[in-house]
Amino acid sequence: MTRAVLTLTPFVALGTCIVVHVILSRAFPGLARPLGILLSVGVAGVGVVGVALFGPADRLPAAVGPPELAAVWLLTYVLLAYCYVIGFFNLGESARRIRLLIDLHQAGRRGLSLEEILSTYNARMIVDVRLHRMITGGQVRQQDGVYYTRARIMLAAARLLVWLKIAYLGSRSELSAPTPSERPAPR
Amino acid sequence: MRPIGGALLAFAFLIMAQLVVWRIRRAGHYTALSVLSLVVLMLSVATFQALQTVTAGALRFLPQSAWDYWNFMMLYVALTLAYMITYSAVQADSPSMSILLLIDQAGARGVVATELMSTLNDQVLVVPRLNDLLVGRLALFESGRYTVTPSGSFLARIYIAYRALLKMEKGG
Repeated sequence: MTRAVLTLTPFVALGTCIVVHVILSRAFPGLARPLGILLSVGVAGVGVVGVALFGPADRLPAAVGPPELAAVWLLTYVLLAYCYVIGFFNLGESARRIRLLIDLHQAGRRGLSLEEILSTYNARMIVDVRLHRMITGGQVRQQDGVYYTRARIMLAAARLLVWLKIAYLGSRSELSAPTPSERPAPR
Repeated sequence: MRPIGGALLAFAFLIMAQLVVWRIRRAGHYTALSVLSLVVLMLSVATFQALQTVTAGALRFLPQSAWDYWNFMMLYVALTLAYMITYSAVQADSPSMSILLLIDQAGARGVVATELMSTLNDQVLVVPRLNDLLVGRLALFESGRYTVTPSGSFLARIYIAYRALLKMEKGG
C-alpha cells in the first residue's frame, strides 16, 4: 500500500463503501435499502479502523499514534459516507428536484408544461409515498383512515429542523421565508 | 486529536460566520456557502499557524505538523460537505417532516389524508422545486414549458445511470 493511498484512506474507504453498496444492491435486489446502506458503510468503516490500527505504520509520520489516526480517519470517513447516503443516494431516492429533472430530461427538447408535469408527478403522489414509507418505517400509524404519530425520534428531528429554519431563514417554513438575495426574479 | 480539535474549531467558526452573514444578506445559492467555507479554512490555517508560533507549539489541541494539517483539512472538508447537505434540508421544506408536524399538531384526533393534501398541495410541494431548478440553471421556463439545460441533462443522466447501476426504479 503506497503512502499516497494511505494518506487518502477515508476517501478510498468511501469508494469501497460505494462499490459494496452497488454490489449488494445488484446481488440482493430484495434487501431492505437501509440494511444495504448500513452494511456498505459498516464494511468500509471496519476497513478504515483496521488500516489505522494494523496497517503499515512505518509509511506514516511517527508522531501520530494508531488510535488517534483511527479516530480521525473514522470520523472523516463517517462524514463522507453521510454525504454519499444523504447527499447522493437519498437524493435519487426521494428528492423532488431530481425526479423533476429526470422527467424533464426524458421529455427531451420539447419539455413539459406544468400541467403535464403534474399529471405524472404531483403532491398527492408525493404525500402518498411518504405516508407509506413512514407507516412502514414505524414513524406513523394509520387507523380507520386517520393518521397518528408513532415514533418520536423523527418528530424530534422535524422540530429540530424547524428551529434551524428559524435560526437561518428567520421563518418556520421556506414559503414564508424572505427571498434570498441571490435568487433571481421568478420567470 | 489535533486534527479533530482544529476541524471542530474551524467548523464552529464557519457556523458563526454563516449565521452573521446570512442575517445581513442571505444567499440562495450553494456557491456562497462554499466560498465562505474556503475563506474560513484559509483563515483557520493562518490563525492556527500564528497561535502555534506565538505559543511555541504549546496548544496541543491544534494542528502542528504537515500531517496534522492534512488530516485537519480532510476532516474539515468532510464536515463542511456534510453540513452543506444538511443545510439543504433546512432551506427546503421536507414533505415527510411537514407531514409529521401536521399530524403532531392535530394531536389525539389525528389527520385524514384529505387534510394533508389541502395543506401540502402542488404549489407547496412541486412548484418550489421547479423554481429551484430554474435558480440552479438546471432548467429553463420558456413559452409556458420547462426544458432542461445541458448541465441539468448531465445531472439527470448521472442519476439515471446510478439508479440503473443499483437496479432501482425512478425515485421521488
